[in-house]
Amino acid sequence: MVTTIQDILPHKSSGKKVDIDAVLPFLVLPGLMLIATISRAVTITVIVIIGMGALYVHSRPRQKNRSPFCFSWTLSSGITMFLVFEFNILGLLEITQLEHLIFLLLLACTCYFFYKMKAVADFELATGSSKGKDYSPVLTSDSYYCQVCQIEVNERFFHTIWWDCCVLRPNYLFYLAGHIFAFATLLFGSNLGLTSICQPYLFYGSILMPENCENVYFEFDMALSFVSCVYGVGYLFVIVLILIQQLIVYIPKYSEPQWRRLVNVLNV
Amino acid sequence: MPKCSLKNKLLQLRVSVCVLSILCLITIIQFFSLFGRYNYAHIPIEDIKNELYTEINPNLALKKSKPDCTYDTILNSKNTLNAWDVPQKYDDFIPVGVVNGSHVPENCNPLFSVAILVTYRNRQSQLDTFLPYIHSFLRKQNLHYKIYLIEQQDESIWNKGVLYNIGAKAAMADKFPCLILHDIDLLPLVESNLYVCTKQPRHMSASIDKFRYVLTYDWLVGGVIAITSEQYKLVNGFSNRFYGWGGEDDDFSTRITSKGLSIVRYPREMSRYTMLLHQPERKNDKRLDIMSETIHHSDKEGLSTVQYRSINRKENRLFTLIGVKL
Repeated sequence: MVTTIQDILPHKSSGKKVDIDAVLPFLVLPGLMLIATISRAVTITVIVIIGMGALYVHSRPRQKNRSPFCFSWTLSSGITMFLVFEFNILGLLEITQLEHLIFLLLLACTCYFFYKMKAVADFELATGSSKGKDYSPVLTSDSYYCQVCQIEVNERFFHTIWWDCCVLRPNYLFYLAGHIFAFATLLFGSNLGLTSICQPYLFYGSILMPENCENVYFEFDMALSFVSCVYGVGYLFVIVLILIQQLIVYIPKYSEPQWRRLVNVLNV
Repeated sequence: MPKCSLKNKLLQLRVSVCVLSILCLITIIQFFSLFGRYNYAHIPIEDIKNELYTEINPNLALKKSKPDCTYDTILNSKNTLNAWDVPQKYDDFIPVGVVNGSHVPENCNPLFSVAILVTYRNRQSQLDTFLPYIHSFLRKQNLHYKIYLIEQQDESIWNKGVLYNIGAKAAMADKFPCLILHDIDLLPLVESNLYVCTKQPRHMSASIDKFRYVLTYDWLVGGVIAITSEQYKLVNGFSNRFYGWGGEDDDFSTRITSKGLSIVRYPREMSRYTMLLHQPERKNDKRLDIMSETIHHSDKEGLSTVQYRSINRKENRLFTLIGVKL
């Protein structure tokens, strides 16, 4: 489904309607962030509410949950944090061009891997070999029925609602690489942001760490930067959990055939 | 209908492509317009000695029996303090050799006389850290120096420019050839940062921890600046028109460059400072307007036209207090 400019213009009734679910996160998340700039207590409340909301959505039964809300939320988070970084944090003039360049490269890698992940999934499920037979009387051992996509998928790992995408063997590495780069980007970006806003100290060599974040709520710009950095750190925490889960569950699963082959070779 | 088809083409553009191109455009613009500098242009280390402005206060009586002080060991010192090692409390500070905020080295004749001008209002805790720290720092540098604390003793809006002009007048009346204008919340961390004037005005606080040790822009002179009295007179001091926080230092910078002087700096390793935390001041929203208005008026207003209601001078052991009511 491709949304064009024509579709979002209000007066043109071109038949296609923009899904309210897809637009909502782009209003709700910036709104929540603006509210969170009021004070420290409000920031903590808002972050906790967002976290609990995400947990609730994540734990809901996911049959037929094809609402684009979660995917839009991911995009909205990324774009909001990016814009705050580009306009507010860079505006403090405390970040050098080199640091900015490294940040942009990490971000570009993140975007590339997630884009590839989705593109590969779309391709595989539409035309590729991963699509199961439409009318299979029995499910074969390596074939699963994805409740969300409502399609039978070969070598499926899991479905991620936050990217609205089935993760299968062909795109699993992109999923993993995307998260590793997202981790690096968020870590670097929030460090740059927090050391700019707060009083930093030399942690090791020339690496700075934020030390004292008093007075950030005094000015709106500062407070907004601080809130989005805190949100970024929260996201970072989630990504760490995902990476740990991958390490324990899916990386062994992904590398299992290789292991089996190796074991077979050794047995011969 | 070429126009119509162009419009149709635009309408058929994908939203994601549009958003992506806008974001890329923003990134490119910001990348080339907003950044700080680690490696700013500075005086080469080996040239610093030749660039120093050697001049002492004619009021200072020198003893012929003593040798001239040397400064090589200070300039070459590698000693540096970490920001967290800066003491927050001085309970046992003994200001040996300090009289009326002034100090003269005992064993040698100094080659430099420096007036340190510090503007102040209502920041007692910072003053309690600043004074002992800066005295212990400067006493090691073999300088003749005197600290002037210029306090705005009224409740009207803060005006740093006026305070500096008044302080500079007092220091010039005491015949100091070199002025160092010092923010009270900045403490030097590196021993080799010799607190004297150079032949050109020198911006000293180029690498502040609060700003990630980055020089935020080239023409910055805020924080700590060393300028000779002659040059201060030449640029007609600070503008008196900047009330509230901000703007006066950028205006001072344009005053300096418009008189054909240039702003120099020590290398980054020598210019490290730590900033004491404080509640930030409300920014003066009109500062940019005042700046554009006053940009060509440095001859008409400044040091020569400074006005105040009353002024009182009091000698304390650690500083000379100049109380001002605007």
